[in-house]
Amino acid sequence: MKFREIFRFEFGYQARRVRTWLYFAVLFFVAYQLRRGGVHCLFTVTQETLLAGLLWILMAPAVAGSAAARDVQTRMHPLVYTTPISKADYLAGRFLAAYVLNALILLALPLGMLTALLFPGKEPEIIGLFPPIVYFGAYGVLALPTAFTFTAVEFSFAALKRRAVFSYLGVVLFCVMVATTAAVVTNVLRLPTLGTLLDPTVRIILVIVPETTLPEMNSVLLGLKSSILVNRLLWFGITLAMLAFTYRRFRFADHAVKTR
Amino acid sequence: MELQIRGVSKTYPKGVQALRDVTLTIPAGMYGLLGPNGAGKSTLMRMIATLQEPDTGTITLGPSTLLPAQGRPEEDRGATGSGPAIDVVRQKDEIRKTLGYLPQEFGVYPKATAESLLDHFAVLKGITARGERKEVVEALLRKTNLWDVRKQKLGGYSGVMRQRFGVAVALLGSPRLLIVDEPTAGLDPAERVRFLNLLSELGQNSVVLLSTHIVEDVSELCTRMAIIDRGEILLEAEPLGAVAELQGRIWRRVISTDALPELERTHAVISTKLYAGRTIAHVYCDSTPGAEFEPAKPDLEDVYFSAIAGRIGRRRERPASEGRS
Repeated sequence: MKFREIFRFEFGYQARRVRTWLYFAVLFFVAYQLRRGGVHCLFTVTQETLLAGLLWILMAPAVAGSAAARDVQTRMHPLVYTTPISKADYLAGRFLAAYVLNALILLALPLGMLTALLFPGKEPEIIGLFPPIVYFGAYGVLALPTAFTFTAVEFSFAALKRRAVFSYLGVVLFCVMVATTAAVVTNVLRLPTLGTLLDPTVRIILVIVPETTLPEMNSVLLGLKSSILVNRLLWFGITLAMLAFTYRRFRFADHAVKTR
Repeated sequence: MELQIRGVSKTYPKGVQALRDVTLTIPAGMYGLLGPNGAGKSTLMRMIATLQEPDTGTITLGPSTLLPAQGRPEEDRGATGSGPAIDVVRQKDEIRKTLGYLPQEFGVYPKATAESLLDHFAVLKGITARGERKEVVEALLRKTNLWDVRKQKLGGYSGVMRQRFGVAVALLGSPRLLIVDEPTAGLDPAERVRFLNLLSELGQNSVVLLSTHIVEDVSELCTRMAIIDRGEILLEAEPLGAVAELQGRIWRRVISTDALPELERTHAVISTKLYAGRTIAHVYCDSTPGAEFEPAKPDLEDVYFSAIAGRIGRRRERPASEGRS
């Protein structure tokens, strides 16, 4: 009951904010524009989903940051932390609300792209080749899992550092760390396969997709290509570990004073 | 029911000792914790409110030890009716079920309305039945005079309105332990009276601990009190009894301001006040300090300043310089 209430209130609070819808509108517009000018092939759909997804990474950490740190930043935390709620309900409710909000914001990508197809000038047979499932497939395989990892990074940094701005700094730090690790693994250790697995945004898919023939397209997008699946599983595991770490370190305490 | 604080000490990382071997027994009713700013009141309040832990010592909420069990009222036989004592430091989840806390400083979500946020807090405090929650929220919004502005966003509230909202949150679920930290600081006189009336209603069945640096808050409300300074309890008493004990020991003299240093050198001046450009000095003395002094009718302010100045209470038994070492 309390988990549900924490989720419900957080989701409702941010869903009523203009900022949330501004993010949606920007992504929708960008996706629409990209698709309007884009060539109709699987590669470009994937590329555009990734590109707009990167824009989301840079633009929207405030959603998770706010969910994680708003109590401390508004100084309402002494009131919240002294209610009989469990740390698990509190953190899980807030995190899930942030993730669902981000998932909805990212829904602007397939919706924006599909809207572009509705406008005159597009050949009906091309639309037939790219049914909506392709766009939602890219959303499900690329956008949603990536959002899970990045929401967790943003949420964890903000919750543990107790300031929403750390969601931005956390993303920057995380990207630098991951990029450095991937570069070292690929170029120094000469393990390019492992290196590509370490990219949480699965840019690897851009390498795979051009080689993909049309019959293989759906299986690629549905994540059945083994390297994508392994990448997703790897980052799912890393993300869960990160959330577990945040759970262990987080305290219902006033100021920086440690308490249980 | 009573709150027992035993040997609680706390030193902050930079070496500041916020609390020094604090021992208090706080029965049901209004209890005043009086002390100057920086005395350690808020640290103690945060500890009782589970937001901070003591380095040493225990804090428990349990059945009263002051009265024999048979003589106690029914609701007084345990912290939650009939349950065992709750260890505030180790059983945080348990104590939070019966805790109301109004911090000295707090904020609210600016974009939420008072009604929606109070309803949210009601669920967090365990009032899950929708009908009951609606009634509780409405009653509290009316009691705190926020009913007419319940649909307004909290970001537009004045400081006093926010304070009232904090009171409503603290009162949710009729807590058995209510911690109120400096609630009247910043309130205008009318608001202060209103607020104190609200608190006094609560003090009947719960342990209400009120921290303040305003002597009148305690004298008007509290049946028991403690005076705290530099992290240690100087005096634990009933306000009326403590005032009565000072009878015949407080003397008053009106002097010019520049004569004050000399008076302080020769007499135990506990407090001074300016009045019409002259200084009224209160002096503590067991017998008449001289013909130029007149006896003053002691009040709680004299108790407070006598304790701080080390004329009564623990600092008299053990001089302040020793306490500071």
